[in-house]
Amino acid sequence: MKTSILLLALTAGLLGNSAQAYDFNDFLKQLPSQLGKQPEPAQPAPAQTDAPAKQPSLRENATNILLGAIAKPTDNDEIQLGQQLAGNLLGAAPLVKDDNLQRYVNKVGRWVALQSDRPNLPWHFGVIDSTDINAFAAPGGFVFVTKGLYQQLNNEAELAGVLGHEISHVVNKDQLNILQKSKLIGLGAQALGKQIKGSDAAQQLIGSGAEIMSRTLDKDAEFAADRMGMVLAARAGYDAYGLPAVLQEIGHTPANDSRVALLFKTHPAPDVRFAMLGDAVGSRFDRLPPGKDLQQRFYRIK
Amino acid sequence: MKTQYGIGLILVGALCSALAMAAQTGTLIKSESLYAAPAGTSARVGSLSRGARVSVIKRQGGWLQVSSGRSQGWVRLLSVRTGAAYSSNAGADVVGMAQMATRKRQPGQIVATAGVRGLNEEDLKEAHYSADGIAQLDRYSISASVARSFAAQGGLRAVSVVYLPNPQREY
Repeated sequence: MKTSILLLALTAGLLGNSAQAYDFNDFLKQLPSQLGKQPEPAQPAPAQTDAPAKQPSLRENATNILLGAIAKPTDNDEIQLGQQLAGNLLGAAPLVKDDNLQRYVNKVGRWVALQSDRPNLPWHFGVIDSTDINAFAAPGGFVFVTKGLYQQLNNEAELAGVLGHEISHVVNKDQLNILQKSKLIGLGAQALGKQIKGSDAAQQLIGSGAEIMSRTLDKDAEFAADRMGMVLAARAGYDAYGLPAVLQEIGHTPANDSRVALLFKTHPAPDVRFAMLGDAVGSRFDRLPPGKDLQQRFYRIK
Repeated sequence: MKTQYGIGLILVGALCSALAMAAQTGTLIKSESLYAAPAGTSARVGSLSRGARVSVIKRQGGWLQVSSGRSQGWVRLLSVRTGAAYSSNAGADVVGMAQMATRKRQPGQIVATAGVRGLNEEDLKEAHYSADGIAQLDRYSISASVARSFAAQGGLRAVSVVYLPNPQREY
């Protein structure tokens, strides 16, 4: 389970919705100073402490570019960015060649996503050919689970929990925070010039390849995705405890196992995530009707 | 014959019990009450301190039936870190144990170098866009109505569940 359980999940969102507007406004305030100075890729720190930039015209231009590329909260912008990122990820690890597996994962994933606050995104799910144990999400509804993680799962409820975690990153637009904390957006905007639309622009915004997917989200974003992942699986009628079961399982993997190196680097430890879920759930699920694990239907990779 | 049969059953039972004990141990990650039944409204029959070792007998919903020393009862699943996965079928724990014993599990196993396809930071950084990959991905995407049919086939019904609050715990 980032375990995904799991799981390494990175998700991104380009725009602040109303619930996140304050974050986005703070983000915009930081942009002029960040964009006005020369790129310093070796220093990923936020730019609040930078001295006022001396190139107002550049700052203004860059800010406008970003407003055009990012501030308009259309799902299409987000989907375009996510597709670029997803395409890059598939360049590193292609889909497992198993039609039945991929269709199955899309059915489970879409059903879980329908329980979320963004049911109408064009959701895409895929199992990628990697022995790593990990899962990823990209803006606009792209969710991936590695073959290594999938093979750790025991039933459909566990799959639903893992996918629920990743779906939550998409719903919460967590990748925006990653872009904020890095200089990717600033550097990308400088390189963009006037070109702010199309896949080139999307690539500029996300940096190199799918590198942003190896970045660490705020740990609170991971805990939040765990909580929401459990809830989405429960809403879908599954056994709510699939995600914590995957966390338990992943927690048994030695930290020096290379298959979990990236996952463990980018996520809080599985046992901490499990404990946080325990604190969050408490007695709140006591009246929940028993969910299904659908172990019989679970698709096993040959 | 009858007697032998009976002894045989007892032996099988003892074996299964021993297997269950061996396969399912756990550690309390917080101090917890032990309940008479898998419900917070049932009688408290004891308490377990953080770090206490327990044997897991079976699971039901969000609860584990455990024994610790001479105490036995139910404790919240999310308060126990298990040493092995537990059966997901309440009442079918012996079957679950048998499956667990034979299931192909690989925790800790060192993966052979041949055929390994990892996905590290460098791989991600160097990745190039795959138009074919996106085209394939698109073909597998399904509609909401197909997903609903799939859910119905499995007997899944949407349930109203409110989001969980942030517990505000620092680690």
